[in-house]
Order: sequence, then C-alpha cells, then structure tokens
Amino acid sequence: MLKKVIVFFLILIALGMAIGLYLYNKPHETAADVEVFEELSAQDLYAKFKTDQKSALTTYLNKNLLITGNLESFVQDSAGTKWTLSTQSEDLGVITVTFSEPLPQNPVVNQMVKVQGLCAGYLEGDEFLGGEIQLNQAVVAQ
Amino acid sequence: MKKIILSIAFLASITATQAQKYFTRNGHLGFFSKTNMEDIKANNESVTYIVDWSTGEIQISALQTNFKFEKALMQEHYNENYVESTKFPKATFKGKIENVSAINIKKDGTYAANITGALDIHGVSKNYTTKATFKVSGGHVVAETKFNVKCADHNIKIEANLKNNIAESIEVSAKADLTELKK
Repeated sequence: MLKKVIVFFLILIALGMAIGLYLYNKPHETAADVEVFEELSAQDLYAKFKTDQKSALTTYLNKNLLITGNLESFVQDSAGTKWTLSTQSEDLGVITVTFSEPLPQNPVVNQMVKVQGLCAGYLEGDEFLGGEIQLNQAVVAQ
Repeated sequence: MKKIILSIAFLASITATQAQKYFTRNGHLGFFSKTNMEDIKANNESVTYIVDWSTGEIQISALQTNFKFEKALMQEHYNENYVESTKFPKATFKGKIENVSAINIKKDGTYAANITGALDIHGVSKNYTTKATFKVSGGHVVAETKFNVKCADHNIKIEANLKNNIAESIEVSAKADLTELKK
C-alpha cells in the first residue's frame, strides 16, 4: 500500500514538473493561433481610434484583427519585419504591423495587402505626426 | 492683401515649426533586471520619439504589450501582474533637453545633453533627470541614454517570493535614430 502511495505521489510530482516546464517554455502566441475578431480596412480602424480612443481600446486591445490597407513602407532588419499601412488620413497616421517571423520575400509597396495581427494599442503622436495603431505577432492573411 | 500676407506668414510659421521636429516610430526602449538568481531583459523596437529642436521638448511613447521577453510566460506576467497593460497600455516620457541650444543639428558631431522630464508608467508619473548623447550625422540624429527606475516608485509590486528574482531598480535603455518630420 505504501509503495502505491509513493508511486502515486512521484507521478503527481513528475506531472507537475512537466506542466511547469511546458508553461515556462511555451511559445509566444501569434495571430495565426487566435480566431479573427473583426475584419476592417486600415482607414476604418484608424478612424475608430482617432474618434474615440477609449472605446476603440476597449473593443480591440489584444484582439486579432484582419486588416486590409495600402502598404506604405516596410523594414526588415535584425529587430524583425515591420510593415507600415497607410490610413489615408489628413495627418500622417499609420498602422504598423510587426510580424512574428521574418518573411521569405519582401513585399511590393503601394499595393493593397491583407494582414492579421494582435492589436497592441494606439500611440497619439502629435498634430503633425498623427497617431499609430500597432499590430503584433502578425501573419500575412491568405 | 493684408489677409494674404498674414496667411503666408502663418503657413511659413507652421512649416518652420515642423522643420524643427525630428522623430522615429522605430525607436528602442529596453530594460534589464539583474539579480543573483536571474537576469531578465525585454526590448521594444516600436517606440515613438519626437524631439522639437526649437523648444527642446522631447516626447517618448511606447506600448507595454510591445516589450518582448525571451519567454512568453514572463511577458504574460509583466503585462498582467506588474504593469497591468490592459489598464495602463502606455509608458510615456515627456521632458525637455535643458541645453538644447548647445546642440547643432545642422553640424555633424556628438553632443552631450541633460534631460529632465516625467516618466509615466503604470499610471504613476515621476520626474527624472538623465544625461544623454545626440550624435548628428548626415541628417540623422541618434539619441541614446540609460537610467534607472525603481519598481516601487511606479507602484509596481513584486511578490515576496520573487524578490530575489526581480531587481528593485531596473536599468532602462533608450536609443532612437531620428529624422526630420516632413509632411
């Protein structure tokens, strides 16, 4: 009986250690792992943040958004791959999309693109710069 | 005629103000916690920096969820337990380059600067003073500084069982390659 109890506790400890190790090393979640919350144009998403930042944050923060927009520029360096989508706004407001992994090939600027990413929030900029909505852990949508 | 002159003067003043502004949306902010138990670091490469050379005003803003940790679990704990990023999504610094007149952005060189301002993290604003360098080269200005932030000063509570793993004072590093803001 004592032997069975010891074996039971050893299994329990091993299970606990395995779960702990898994949680400690679990990979970063990407947009591909999460269901799309809403599909919007870059222009519409920016307008929502610009009009009512608080309400837009409540709705979209940490949500997976599928965005269509015109690719204004891109950066691919040691810090990662980042695309900037135009918002067609009067100020220089943009949506920046940081990808979870480097992309196999460079995109073509001034073309419509479709991406999904986790909404990290909104930075106001100033009267000239305009705001910036940041999407993280993004993937190119099919 | 008077109205036209005034309009031109107004537009010229806007353009002049703009020309004095430098910015980036790809700036760096990082922090480093060192204890005997472990080193923890996180970096954010999507930080907005705006410097107005006419006044010396400097504005830095970063989204908390954009700080990348090696481990996803650490990142989760940072956002949920420490900075509460859903409640306080941004970290901001609004300050001033005290000796802005000593920096000539039209002349290549490395300039030392004194910066004072308020850092707002976790909904708590605190004043800081730090030394920074501005390296001017070919139309770019690379700004760089390091300073220490105490978690307790921003009401960030570390659990008793993790006091040996997370430093009381965190080293913050900031670096940005600024270019002229042109509309």
